[in-house]
Amino acid sequence: MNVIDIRGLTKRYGKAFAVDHLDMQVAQGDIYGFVGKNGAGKSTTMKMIAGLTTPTSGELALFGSGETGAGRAGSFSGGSSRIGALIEEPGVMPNFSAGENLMMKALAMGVVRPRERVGELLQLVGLEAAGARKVKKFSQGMKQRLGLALALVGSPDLLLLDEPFNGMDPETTRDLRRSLVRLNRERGVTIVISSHVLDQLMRVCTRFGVIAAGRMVREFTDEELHATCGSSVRVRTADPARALAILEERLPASTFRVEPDQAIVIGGGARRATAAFGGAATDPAASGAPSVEDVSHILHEADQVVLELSVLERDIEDYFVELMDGGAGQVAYTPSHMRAGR
Amino acid sequence: MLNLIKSDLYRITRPRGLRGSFWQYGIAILAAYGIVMALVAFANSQMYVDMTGSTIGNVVTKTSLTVYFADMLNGLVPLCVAFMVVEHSLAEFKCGYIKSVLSARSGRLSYIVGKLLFAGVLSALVILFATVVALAFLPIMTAGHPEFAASEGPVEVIGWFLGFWLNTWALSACSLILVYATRVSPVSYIGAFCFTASVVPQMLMGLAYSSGGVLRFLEPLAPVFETLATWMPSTALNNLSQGGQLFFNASIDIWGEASRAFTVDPGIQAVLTGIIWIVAAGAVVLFISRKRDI
Repeated sequence: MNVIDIRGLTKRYGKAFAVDHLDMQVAQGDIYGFVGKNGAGKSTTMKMIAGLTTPTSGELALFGSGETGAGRAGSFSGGSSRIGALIEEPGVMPNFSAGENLMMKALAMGVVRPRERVGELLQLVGLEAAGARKVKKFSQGMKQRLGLALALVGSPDLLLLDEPFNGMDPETTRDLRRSLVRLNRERGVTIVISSHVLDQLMRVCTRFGVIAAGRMVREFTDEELHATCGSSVRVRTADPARALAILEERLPASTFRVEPDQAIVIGGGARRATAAFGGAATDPAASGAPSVEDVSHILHEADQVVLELSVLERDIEDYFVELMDGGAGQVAYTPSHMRAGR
Repeated sequence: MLNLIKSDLYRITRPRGLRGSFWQYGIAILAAYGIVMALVAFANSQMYVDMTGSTIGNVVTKTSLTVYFADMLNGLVPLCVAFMVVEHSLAEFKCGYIKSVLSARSGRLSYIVGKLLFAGVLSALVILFATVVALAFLPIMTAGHPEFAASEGPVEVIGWFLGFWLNTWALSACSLILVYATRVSPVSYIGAFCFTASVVPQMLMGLAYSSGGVLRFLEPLAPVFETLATWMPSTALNNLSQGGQLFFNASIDIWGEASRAFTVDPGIQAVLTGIIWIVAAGAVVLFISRKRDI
C-alpha cells in the first residue's frame, strides 16, 4: 500500500506555483528522502500532506484513502490522523519544560497513560536529564529532539520530518538516525525526511525523491541510486546502437545508459554492505562494474571502432545537485530507446 | 474536544515558576483588588477622618450583592479573560505548536471549536476566582457592614452570573477573530481591549447621534446603529451593573425613552446577546480557519 499517493498536486500563491503538478508515491515502510533546493517546494508539499495547507488542485491520498487536501481543513473530526510532523520549527512552547510540552500534546491527543508516554519519549530522544528547565534555555539541537518527540506523541504511522538534523551535533545526529531506523524497522513507521544533508539521508533512506521548481524530477530507490552513481565505464563508438546491443549481450549483469552525445555509460549492479552505524553503504570493491579492459576487449572482438574510453567515478552529491537543478543533461535512457533508433 | 480543553487547562495551570497564565492573571486580579481594598480601607479609617475632618460615607454601592459583584468584576475580568485567550492562541502560532497538533488530528475545525469552548471554560474559571476574592474582601470593602438594601434570591444571582459569563465569553470569542484572521499580537490585543472597553457600541451610538446633525445622510440607519449598540456584549455587561434585578424587574428602563433601538427585557437581552455573539464569532473564526493555511 502507498501511504502517500500524490498525483498532479499543485499549490499556487497568486501567479507563483510553489508546487506544480507534483507526483509522489511513498510506500508503507519506506524511509523516503525528499531532496531539493531551498524554495523547491519541499516544505509546502509536506504541509499539504500534514493537512496544514490546502492544495490548489490535484489528488492526495493518505493510507490508501481517497482523501483530498481540502478535506481535513473543513472536517470536524477529532480523531487521530496517524501522522506526526516536524515542519519548519520544532513547535515547542519556550516557557515550559520538555516534559510539560509533551504532556500538553499527549493530553490533546487523548493518549492513554500520558505520563508514561512522556517518560518514554524523553528517553527516546535523550532529554530525560533536561529536567524542569524551560525549553527557551535549550540548544537548537535539543529543541529539534523535543520537536521529534512531539511528533511521536500520538504513535503515528507516518512521520514527516522537515530538516530534522538542523542544529544537531554529529553524535546527536547519529542517535537520531538510529532512532528513526529503529522506529521504521521495529514499528513499521513510514518516514519522509526532507534535508539538505545528503550524507545523513543516504545512510537511512530507502527511497528518494528529488524536487525542483515544485515538480518531481525523479524518484528512485537507494539501489538505483548506487547503480547510477557507482564506478562506471564510459565508451563512445562509431556505431553506438550496435555497440550497445553487443555490450548488453556480453555484460548482462551491467546497467547501461546513453548520454546526450551518444556515449554509453556502463555501470554495475551495486551490492550493498551493512555499515556498523545502522545505515547502508555500497562496497566499491563489489560493485560489479566491468573493467575498461573488458569493455575494450568485447568491442574489439566485435570489430567496433572505439572513439573514447574512460572510467567515471560519479559523485552522489553531484548527481543530486544535477537533479535539483532540474535534471539538466539527463536523458531518459533505456536500451529500447537506442534500439528503436530514435 | 474535551481532550483539547484538558490540555489547555493543563497549560494555564502549571504552578512551577508561575508558568501557567491563570496564576499570572490571577495575581494581577488579586493585586488590583488589593489596591482597591487598601484604598477603601484607608477611606474608612480614622486616619482619613483626621486628615479631612469628615467621613467618606459608603464607598461601595450597597444596592445588592450582584451590584457589588458588578462593581468588582466588570471591566477587569472581561479584559483579563480576553487577553488570556488572545495570548493562549497567539502563542500556539508563534512557536509552531499548532502545526504539531493539527497535523496529528484528522480535522481542523474540531480543534478550533475546542478553542472556542476553552474560552468559555476560562471565562467561568476567572469569574469564579474573581468572585471568591471579591467575597473575601467584602467585609473590608463594606467597612465591616456587609448588608445590602435589596435581598436577592438564588435565581437572580444565577441569572446575573449567567449573563456575565456569556458576555465575557462572547468578548473573548470576538477577540479570537482577530487572532485567527491576523495572527498579529498588537492587532489582537488592541482589538480585545477595544471590544471590552465598549469602543464598538460607543462608536455606533456616536454615529446614531451624529445622524441627527453632521452625518444627516445616516439618519435612516440610526435605529440600526442604536439596535446594534444595545445588542453588544460590552453593552450587556454595562447593563448588568444594575444587578440581578435586571432579569425580573420589567419596570427597569435602561435604554431611555428616546431610544430607537429594538430591545427586549434587559435581562433576557443580556443572555441572548452573549449567546448570539458566541455563535456569530465562532462561525467567523471557523470560516477563517477553514480558508487560511497554517
